[in-house]
Amino acid sequence: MTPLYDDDNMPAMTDARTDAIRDTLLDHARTERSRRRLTLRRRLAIWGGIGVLVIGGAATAATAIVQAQRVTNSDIVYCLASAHRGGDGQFRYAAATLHNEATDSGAVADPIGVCQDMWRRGALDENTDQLAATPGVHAVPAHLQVCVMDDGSPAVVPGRAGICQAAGLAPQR
Amino acid sequence: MVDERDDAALWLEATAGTERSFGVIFDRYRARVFRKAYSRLKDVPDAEDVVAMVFLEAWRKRDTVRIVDGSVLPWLLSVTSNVLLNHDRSTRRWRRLLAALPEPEQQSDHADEVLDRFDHSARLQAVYEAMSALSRQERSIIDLCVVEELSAATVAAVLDIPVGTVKSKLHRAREKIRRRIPSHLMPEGRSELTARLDGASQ
Repeated sequence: MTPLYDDDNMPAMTDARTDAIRDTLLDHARTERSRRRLTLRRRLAIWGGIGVLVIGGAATAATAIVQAQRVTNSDIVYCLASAHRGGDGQFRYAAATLHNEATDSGAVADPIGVCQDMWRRGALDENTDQLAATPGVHAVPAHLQVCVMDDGSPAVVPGRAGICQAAGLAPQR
Repeated sequence: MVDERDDAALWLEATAGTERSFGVIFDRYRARVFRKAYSRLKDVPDAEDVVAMVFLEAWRKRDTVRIVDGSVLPWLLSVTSNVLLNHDRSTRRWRRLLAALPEPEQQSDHADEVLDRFDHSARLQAVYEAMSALSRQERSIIDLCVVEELSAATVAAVLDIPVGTVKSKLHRAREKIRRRIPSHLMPEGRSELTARLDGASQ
């Protein structure tokens, strides 16, 4: 195992720099372990912070992507029980419409008013006894927002402003 | 007192927290690494810097060390080869530690010795220049097999590739090198260089 470059006349390392390199190596090996642990902790903290920012940014972006739309189909209103989808990916809702004699079709001029009435009658309360002679009085959410479904019909969702985007629906323009 | 423990035991101790064992490995192989670096750089302080960088890199990559037949030298030579290949990048990485080393002493002029060895040196430089046309892996194989004269099995273990791959790539790389070395640097008769490029040393 003789290297091609080997030569008896080759110079050697200088003593001063050899000693300095050895000291540097041993010092580096000694301190690098603790630095590596600190770096790992910092890296975890940084990536954790970045993760939070990414998730926040994605949520903001998703919110911004859902543009406000006009209600173009007033034949029906969907009164959603909550802004959360069920295990099957569907919203739980009750749909309602009002008959317009003049046009002989459905006409929902006040979606929130209709849905407040639906809530009051217990249509969106799971505990309502549907066979009872009178529905009784049920709680109406303090805040309801009008969102717009894909077909342009209104959907009334319980919650404050911004709940439409959270539900993945377009807010009403 | 010379520490006679084998490299594997020393490396294990060094990585487990006994830095002094790393110092023993440094003293065991620094001269060899220095000579390899000097043969390329022809400058003592620069070659000393490479020695420092090689052992710093070795420590940084300590989890991927390959100890072949109880020796860490083949792997260190491979690290040296990579440091020389990526000299600028390695210098940037270890700039702070290198800057802390003492200033180089005034060196005696080795020009006369260099002139004495001109033919040998010129051939060696021709080999190095010809190697620049090879792929990274071919270059490592030529460096370790032809320049360092390590066996194909050892190189295969260091580079973590099959022996057959080392042999086939070595064959192709030799052909490329022979074609690129100027004819006036290839002696007519048998020389160490031609013997190694012919594969006689394998």
